[in-house]
Amino acid sequence: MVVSLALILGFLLIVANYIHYQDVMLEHYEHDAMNIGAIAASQIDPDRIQHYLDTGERDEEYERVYRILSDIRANSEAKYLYVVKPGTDEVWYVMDTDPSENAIPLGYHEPYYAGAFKENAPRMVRGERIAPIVSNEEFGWLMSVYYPLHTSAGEPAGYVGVDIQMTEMVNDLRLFLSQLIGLTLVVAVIACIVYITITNRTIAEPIRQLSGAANQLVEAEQSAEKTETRIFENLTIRSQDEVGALYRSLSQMEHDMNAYIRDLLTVTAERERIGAELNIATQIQADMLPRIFPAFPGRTDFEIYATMTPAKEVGGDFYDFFLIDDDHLGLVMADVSGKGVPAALFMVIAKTLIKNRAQMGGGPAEILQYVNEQLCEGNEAELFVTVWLAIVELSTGKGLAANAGHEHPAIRHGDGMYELVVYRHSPAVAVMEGMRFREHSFQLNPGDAIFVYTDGVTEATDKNNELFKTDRMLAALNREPSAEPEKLLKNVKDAIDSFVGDAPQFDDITMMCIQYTGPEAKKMKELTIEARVENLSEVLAFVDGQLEEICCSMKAQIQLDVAVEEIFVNIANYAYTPNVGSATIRTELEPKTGMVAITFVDSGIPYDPLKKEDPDVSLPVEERQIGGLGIYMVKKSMDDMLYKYKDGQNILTIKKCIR
Amino acid sequence: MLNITKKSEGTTLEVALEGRLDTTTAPQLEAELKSDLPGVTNLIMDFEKLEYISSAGLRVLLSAQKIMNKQGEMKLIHVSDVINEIFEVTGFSDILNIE
Repeated sequence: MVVSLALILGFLLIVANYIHYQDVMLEHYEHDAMNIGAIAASQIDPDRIQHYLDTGERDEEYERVYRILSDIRANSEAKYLYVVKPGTDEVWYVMDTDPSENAIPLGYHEPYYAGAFKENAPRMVRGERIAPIVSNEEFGWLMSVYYPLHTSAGEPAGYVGVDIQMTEMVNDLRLFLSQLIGLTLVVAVIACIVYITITNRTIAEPIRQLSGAANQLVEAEQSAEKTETRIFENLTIRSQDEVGALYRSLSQMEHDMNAYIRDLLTVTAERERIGAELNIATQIQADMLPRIFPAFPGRTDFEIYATMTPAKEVGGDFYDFFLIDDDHLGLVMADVSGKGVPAALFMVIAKTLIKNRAQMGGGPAEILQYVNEQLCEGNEAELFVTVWLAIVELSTGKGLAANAGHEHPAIRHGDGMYELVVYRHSPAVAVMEGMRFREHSFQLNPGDAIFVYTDGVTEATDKNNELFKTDRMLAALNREPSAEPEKLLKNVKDAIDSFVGDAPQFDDITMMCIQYTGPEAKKMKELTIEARVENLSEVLAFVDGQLEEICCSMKAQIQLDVAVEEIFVNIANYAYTPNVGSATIRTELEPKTGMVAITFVDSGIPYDPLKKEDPDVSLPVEERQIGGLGIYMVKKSMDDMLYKYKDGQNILTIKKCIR
Repeated sequence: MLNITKKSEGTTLEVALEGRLDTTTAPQLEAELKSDLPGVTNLIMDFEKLEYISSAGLRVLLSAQKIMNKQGEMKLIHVSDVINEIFEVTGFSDILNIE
């Protein structure tokens, strides 16, 4: 680029110089020729020219002029010096100083040469001045200058012609041209080298550095780790030109970018920390709900299952179930208004308050009233919670429920279908202080079931913004109405999932189902017999008959036999002394758990065998006492022993798990 | 029910028990031993076929051990795991000579 520009410039320079030089040279030659012409003309008498042509006679005057003109020619640059008389078509030669034999004789005439000569012919006939004519005809490069001569009368008399050899000038020009070209080339090459070196140093190198740094920066930015860079900062570009300005801009950009990355890292770390904490919060919240099933492995009188499928963020749904005492089961399904951390915190308080207050006793309405007062205190956020709270007496199936603004529970009686139980609800808890809650009773018979849920179920939304609604929920429940709770909840969840499809889940989906199977299906039998040692085999036969029904192991049966014998013989020997009374032996078997409980009831003197001191079983044989050894054996081999004296009766129960 | 089979050889008496040694049968064994033990220096009790023992049975074993400590020695053979466990619990395994 630079080189071609230099070439063009050089060429233009050469052309301009060449033309100027040529002009100067031509002017110089013309001036000389004109001077020569003028000097020659001063020697000629123009009045005599026509005379010479007419006569063709070279007189003395002619010879004198000829000698002078020959001298002038010889001592000047003129190659030819001659006098002509122009005619209309031809030119007439009057005198030619050419010393060679080619000299043109007086009176010779010939037609004008073509070109400039012929064009100038009319003006020459009129005797006007004409511009010099440069020609390259038979005599080589010549410049012909014509100096006009006028007669004394002022008529055009002819011209003194001066031909100057141009060959020298052309050689001059060629030399000049070659020198000019050489010089220009040298200068151009040097200029190019200098220029390229300077631009390299001041522009190209810094730009190369900047470009490399920019590439490094891009690579650093694309790498996984967003670290701060010092790529531009480490460059040393000090120039004050545009490149320097560009460097300072890029450096500033890098500085800003580092600051930006720092900010971003801080913000990201903060966001990650909050995210991690929220995850923990969600986990803690989920862990607060009883999630281990079967929840009450020892119990056969009811079966319960519950799930919560949280939406993305922590929410306010919760369920709870707990035994208030051995016979009362508390059930809670609730939904705190709103979402996120505030709802979650409120949920934690509400759940804790409800359970704690329920454990203290009282009906659902009373519990909710207390919880309402507690939650209303300092409830600046004006959150509230809808609660369904029920307490079921497990031995009878009698239940009490309070519904504070929560969804209608679905209930199934016997072999029927799940149906919604619709009744008037109380307002939600924590809406207003001093509220009272409505309470209603219900009866569960063995085989009945209750399904409770939050609005996450009925308001699950598909991609067309249609709600799942209770109809679909009941249909899902009634697909297998007699299924156990876990399966039932799975059916509903599956129905929701297939309904919703790919649409996002907005709300927690929480469900709980309890199936009431009635009081524990215990096998109970009783034997009342006179408390005499003789009846021991009858008692053992009764107990063994019971144990065989539940496939008791040999070892456990022997241990139980020993226990029954020791206790019965004790009663026979001591309870009614000296009289004889009766004893009742009651067996309770729980086939599901393999627990055997045998209770002995007698109306003899109060006696708590558990209070009897254990015998020292480490004494040597001579000091050993046999008393108390029987009861000690019972204590050692049974899982549990209970004694109470009630209504004039000793009631002693031994328990043993036979599995 | 308790079956008692006795085998006497000089001053050695071997008593094999079969069935249950409980409150009702213990007096039976006690009576047998009471009549046979005098003069015996080596009492062997075979429990191979004994299914059951209660504290009444333990009482008989204890008194027999006390007697034999004075006039010779007594040992129990073929004791089943179930009965051995009862001996362990009651500390009888420390005072009886069980093979």
